Amino acid sequence: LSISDPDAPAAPPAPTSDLAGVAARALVVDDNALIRRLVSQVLAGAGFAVDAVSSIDAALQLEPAGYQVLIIDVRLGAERGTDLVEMLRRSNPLLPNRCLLMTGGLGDSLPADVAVLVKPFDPDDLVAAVLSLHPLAARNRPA
Amino acid sequence: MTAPRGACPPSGADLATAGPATAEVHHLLRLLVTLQEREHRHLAELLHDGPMQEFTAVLLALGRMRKIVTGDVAHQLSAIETQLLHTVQSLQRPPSPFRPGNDARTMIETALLQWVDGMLADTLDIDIDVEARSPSPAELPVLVAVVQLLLLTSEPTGRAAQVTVAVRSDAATDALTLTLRAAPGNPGIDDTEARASQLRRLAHAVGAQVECDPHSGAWRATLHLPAPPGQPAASSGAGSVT
Repeated sequence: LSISDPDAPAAPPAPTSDLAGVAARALVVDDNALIRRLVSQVLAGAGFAVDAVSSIDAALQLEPAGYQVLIIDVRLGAERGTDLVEMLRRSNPLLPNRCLLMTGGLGDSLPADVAVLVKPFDPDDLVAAVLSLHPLAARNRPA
Repeated sequence: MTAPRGACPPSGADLATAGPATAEVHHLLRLLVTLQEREHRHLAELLHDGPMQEFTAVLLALGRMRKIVTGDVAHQLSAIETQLLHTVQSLQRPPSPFRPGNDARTMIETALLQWVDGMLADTLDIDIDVEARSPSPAELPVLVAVVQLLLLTSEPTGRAAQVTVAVRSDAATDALTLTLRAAPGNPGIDDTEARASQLRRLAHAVGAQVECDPHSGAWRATLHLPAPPGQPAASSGAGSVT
């Protein structure tokens, strides 16, 4: 299990894509460095190989289609996480099924077919929401 | 609809005749509500971008700590998490009344609950029947702002004791009628005349009529909004104000 965050110099390198292996891959997209790190740590503790980025451009460079789950903050500074979801949808209509949008409950207009996790949440809420997206991730979860 | 507590039936003796509300005045009312909406959104964004992120981080950190401790410490951490979560949830700003997707009835009710109940009125009753014609996006903020401004004029520093807001549409004429009844707060203060005078001035400006009971201080205001020109019956859908 590993966590990769380009904005955190001390982070270990990104894991290789290994869909046949034990670790499902999760991509965290959040512009808040502390949230990004904590979410990544929680997911790594739940058995995921985690990459974390702070922007849509950085997420697209990691080829999001290669991840089993994508945890995306709705508000990414001036960007919107929902824009990333729509970009993914255009490339593959099934990709939004792998996305989990984190929102502060501002009444943002959110796509109806994408899972949502409302802030504040605790680690159990996060893991439960992510596992509900991908059965493979649930099977691979450490006992 | 029942009369507010302490109010006498309108006598007509203190009836102020409404002047023609200008389009400019109603435009100002729409700007006023838009400003409220803007502030509402700004505060929500400040809360989201600041404290909500920090609280989420604290909850995640506490949750991780709880996983590595046992026994009583774990229970205490869990209790702290729960208390913090409930506290933060109580700080969440409610969604905007005029968010897209809300129908006109929901918009009016939500706006009154957020911007009148508890702020301008101790007790608020809402009675809305706009089946015949739904208020247009231009009319919604006018209805809400007239309620707010009349109540603020009646109670410049406090809250009315009992307020009833009724909005009805007339199937025959497509007109909308807002009826606002209020029993003032601070019944021991004899400011009925001054209140009535101020209410008359404002009602005249916004195109409403107001009746004041000189004995109880209770008052009733009525605002009629005719059907928009060329607007067929029941065709004015609600939409975003801003």
